[in-house]
Amino acid sequence: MTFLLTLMVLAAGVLLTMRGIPWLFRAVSGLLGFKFRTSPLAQKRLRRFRSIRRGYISFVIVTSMFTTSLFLEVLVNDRPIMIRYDQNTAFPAVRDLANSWLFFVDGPFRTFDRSADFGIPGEGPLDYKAFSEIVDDPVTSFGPIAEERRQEMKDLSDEISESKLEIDDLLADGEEPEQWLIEDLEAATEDLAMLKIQIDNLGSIEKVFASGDASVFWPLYRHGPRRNRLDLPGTAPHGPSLPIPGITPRYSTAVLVSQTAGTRGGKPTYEVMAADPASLEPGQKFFVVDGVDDEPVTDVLGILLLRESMGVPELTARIAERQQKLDEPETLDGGLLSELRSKQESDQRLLDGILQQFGETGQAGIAEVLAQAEGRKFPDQGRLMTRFLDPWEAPLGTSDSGIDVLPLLLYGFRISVGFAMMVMGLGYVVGILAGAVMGYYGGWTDILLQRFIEIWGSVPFLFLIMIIASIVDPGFWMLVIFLVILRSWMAVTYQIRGEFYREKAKDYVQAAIGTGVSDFKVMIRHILPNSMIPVISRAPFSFVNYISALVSLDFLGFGLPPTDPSWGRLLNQGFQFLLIYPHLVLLPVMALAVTLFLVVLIGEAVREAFDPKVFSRLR
Amino acid sequence: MSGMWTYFARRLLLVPVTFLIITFLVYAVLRLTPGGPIEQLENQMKAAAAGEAGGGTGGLGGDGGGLDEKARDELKVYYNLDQPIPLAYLQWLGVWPKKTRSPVILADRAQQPDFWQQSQSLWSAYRIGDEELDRLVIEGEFQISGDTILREITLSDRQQHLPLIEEAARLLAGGVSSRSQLDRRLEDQGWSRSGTRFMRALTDEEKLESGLPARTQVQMLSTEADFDALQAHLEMKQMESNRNGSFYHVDHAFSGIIQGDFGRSFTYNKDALDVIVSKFPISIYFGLIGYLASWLVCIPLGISKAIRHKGTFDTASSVLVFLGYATPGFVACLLLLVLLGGGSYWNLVPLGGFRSADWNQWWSQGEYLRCIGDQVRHTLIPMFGYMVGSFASMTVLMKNSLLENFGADYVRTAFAKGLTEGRVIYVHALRNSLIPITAGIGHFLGLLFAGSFLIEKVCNIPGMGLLGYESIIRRDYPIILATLVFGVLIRLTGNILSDLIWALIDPRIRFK
Repeated sequence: MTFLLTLMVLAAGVLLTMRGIPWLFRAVSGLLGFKFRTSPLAQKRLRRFRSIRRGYISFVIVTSMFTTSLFLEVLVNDRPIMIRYDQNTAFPAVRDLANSWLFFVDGPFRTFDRSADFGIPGEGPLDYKAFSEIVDDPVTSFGPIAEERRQEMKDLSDEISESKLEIDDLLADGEEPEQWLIEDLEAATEDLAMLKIQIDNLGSIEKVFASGDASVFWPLYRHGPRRNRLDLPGTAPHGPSLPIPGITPRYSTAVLVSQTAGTRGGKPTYEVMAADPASLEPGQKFFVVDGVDDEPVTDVLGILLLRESMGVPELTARIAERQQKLDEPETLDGGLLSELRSKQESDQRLLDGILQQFGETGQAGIAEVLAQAEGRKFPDQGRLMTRFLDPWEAPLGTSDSGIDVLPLLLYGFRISVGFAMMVMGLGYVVGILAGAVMGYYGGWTDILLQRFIEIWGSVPFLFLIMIIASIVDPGFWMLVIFLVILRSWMAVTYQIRGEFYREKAKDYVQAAIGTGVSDFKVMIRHILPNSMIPVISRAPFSFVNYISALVSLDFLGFGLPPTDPSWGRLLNQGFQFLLIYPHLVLLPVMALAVTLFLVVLIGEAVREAFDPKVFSRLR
Repeated sequence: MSGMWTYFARRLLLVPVTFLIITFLVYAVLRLTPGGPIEQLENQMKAAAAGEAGGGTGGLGGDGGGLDEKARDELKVYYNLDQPIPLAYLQWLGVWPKKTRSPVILADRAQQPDFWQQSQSLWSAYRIGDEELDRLVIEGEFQISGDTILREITLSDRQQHLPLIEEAARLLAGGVSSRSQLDRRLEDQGWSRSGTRFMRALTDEEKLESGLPARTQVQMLSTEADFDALQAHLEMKQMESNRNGSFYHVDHAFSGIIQGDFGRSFTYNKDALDVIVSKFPISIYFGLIGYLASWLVCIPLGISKAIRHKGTFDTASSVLVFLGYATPGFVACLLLLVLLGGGSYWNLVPLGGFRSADWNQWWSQGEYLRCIGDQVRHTLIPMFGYMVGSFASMTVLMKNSLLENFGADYVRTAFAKGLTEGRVIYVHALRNSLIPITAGIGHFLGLLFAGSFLIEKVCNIPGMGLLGYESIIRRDYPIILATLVFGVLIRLTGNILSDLIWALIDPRIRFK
């Protein structure tokens, strides 16, 4: 179901990008009074671009991905798209989306819903996950809550009657009861009244939930790039739960057989068995889980630590050895004999079980209890797993602070591509202006600006950004501006300058100047459209460079603030856990390489379509 | 030809200008941004003080932990931070005399006993006065800030400024942000705050009346006078003293980077130049090997791509080239380290470093093969990283320039002469196509320096890049500036060198 929805979202993204945005563009420019004429030459170039399949397909993929990623808040988020409780409705994810679209006004919508407005007593922000759990299963979730409150009420009323008795005693003895005692009594009575109201309300709240007047509507993936997932078992970073060959760590399963006679550290030990030696390695921790075989499991009874393990041959040898002793019962005294017998029996049972379930390769082990849920018993034939997630629980694992990697990568894509687009766009504006002035006016303007660029281009920009970023924490926009000022405008300037030099000498420009068209108009209307080709054809390649620059800066820790999702920081975390958690390196590298590879393919196609070089063949 | 030489002369003339502008820019940025060595020292001290069961401060030591003003001044002098930025920059360059201080040793004192007896007595006069001043300050619970004496506000002050006091008490109870507001309010009144006490300077009446404030004021003036007398006396022999009783020879000399004095590294406590020079060979080793490796791979690949232009091989290897362009060098290193570094996959290479720790021992024991193997295994991944960095552009450059030459007339002529295909390609066309690649050597020099930050960090190579990175993090000014100087110089000359080589080997190129 989710899979189908995802496909539909992607298809919608493609449609929006390929049809919707051009239409919107035309409509808006039509409203503003621009008329769009594409010159025959441009049309020919576009056709040529489209005919280069791999480039065109990459273009569709990258642009559609980016437009889709603009809606990420309602697709992948830890807040629901919509929650409804009785009369109250809220759209937390949509609010997030609006906030990130209106980034220039700094969060115009408040970011949380009051808990009390949505049926959960309390003043703090609403816990969407808890709310959603209640909506899913109101009856069982309300039972414990109501029970807890009732217990509280009982305790409180007991306390009150005790205090009253005490005061009465004191009065009877003719003593003045102390002030605090009376105050306590008053406070307790007040609390009791509050609790009564709460319990009364609880009934009506439960009715609302049970009658289906509350609902919650989640995004496709229920975890965001900012909230950590430390509620997952084990410690962060978690390996991916999706079985990806080579990246997902080996998860083993085993069967719990029975409690042994012995103990370790005062806690009972258990016999376990598994299919092969690799799944039972001493030191391995297992979750004891409840449930039927194929269901995803989330109910944990406890944790076992495997102490020793042995294969079928060793077990057989042990049994045979013990049998030898048992064959001469006269050498042993009674207590020892019965102990040996019982051990022999349990070993034999274990061996039979292994042979029956797993055959000759089976493995047996002894595990000690590390933790056990209160009031739960470990079942015989219970399941043991090194993880108890369903494969889609945390498909790509979590980062070192427990943040889900999947949303990190997706949001990281948006921020990287958006960053590169901003740097490129602003750089083009500045670069084209400077280049146009240099090429059009020439003379001293040209010489001075050239010298300036020569000097400015030698500033070691990574060095300078690092120095500045080591003191102030640059945000997204500050980084964009740094990169534009220090780097991105210069290369464009040189190309535009050359083009302007060439075009200015041509007759049509001289004619335009001769008829008295203003300098600015000549530059914009006449020369610029004819000199954009080399600039456009190198755009995708500079795009690649800016994404790499952002990743490098983030990797070094001088980039985006730590709350922003970024590939570079994920890489840095992977660098810290190089040998233990390969997914933290491999996944962002894959995301980076695939994205940039697609962009390079686009660049290659654009270059070929806009600026074809016909080489003579040798033969 | 003469046009070309003026072109290069102009380029060369621009080098010092560029150099000066860039270094000044970075120097100014370094000085203007907070967090210099003194702040770092203070933070360390504060952290240490916080560690020691930080009880109630607010005594005479000011706001816990930090350095007092005198010590800060001393440090500023030590790090040459007391000068205005342009002057300090000129001193750093070595075109303005810098005051250097060297301690006076006992042997010097023995040579001029009279002079030293006098100095000593002047010093003790100052010392006694200073102790007296300290006693008075403690007795009167004053504070000294520069040349003013601060005292706690008196009862009459409180009565005169009741509203302010009330507001201040309210602000004092608030958090950190309201404290700064409080400080601003107090400053408007000409007061200041020490812990929870409000201080103000002594008024003129207080300085004149014969109480404790007046005595302290007099004592302070005379102590200052004593110290000045001591300095004036020492100045005759070009010496000075600090307030702790250390005597220095003072020398004004030109000592900056032009004279080869890059300053002392704060972290290594060695001459910055020595530190850099010791890291140089390692960076060059890896950079050069990486560059050579990319030549060995890219040139043959470019040639075969050009010969089979638009063929299957060309298309297939293009994917590799695109991937190379799409992967930054350090990312490739990271990937290889994960795959080959002995974590979850194969264990073929060490996790970085220049060579193993026991390398020298092995070498002296004569296990040369082992040494070579070790060195090679340490070299592989950084080499690959450098190669990936220039792989795509170099291959495409090689291919395109060869293709361009295939279309040239001289190639057609050579074929027409009846030369074999191999001879035409490898002798005639290739020679001309190698020109742009050869000219890249100069640019490579710059790249070797700038692009290595990331690779050296990932592969943990103790070279220039890692040094620069760490010096920025530790705010080690002399090292930052020294790496900058070398980096900029190498890059500037490298670029010119590239163009020069190009002009020399390709007679068709004209610069003007």
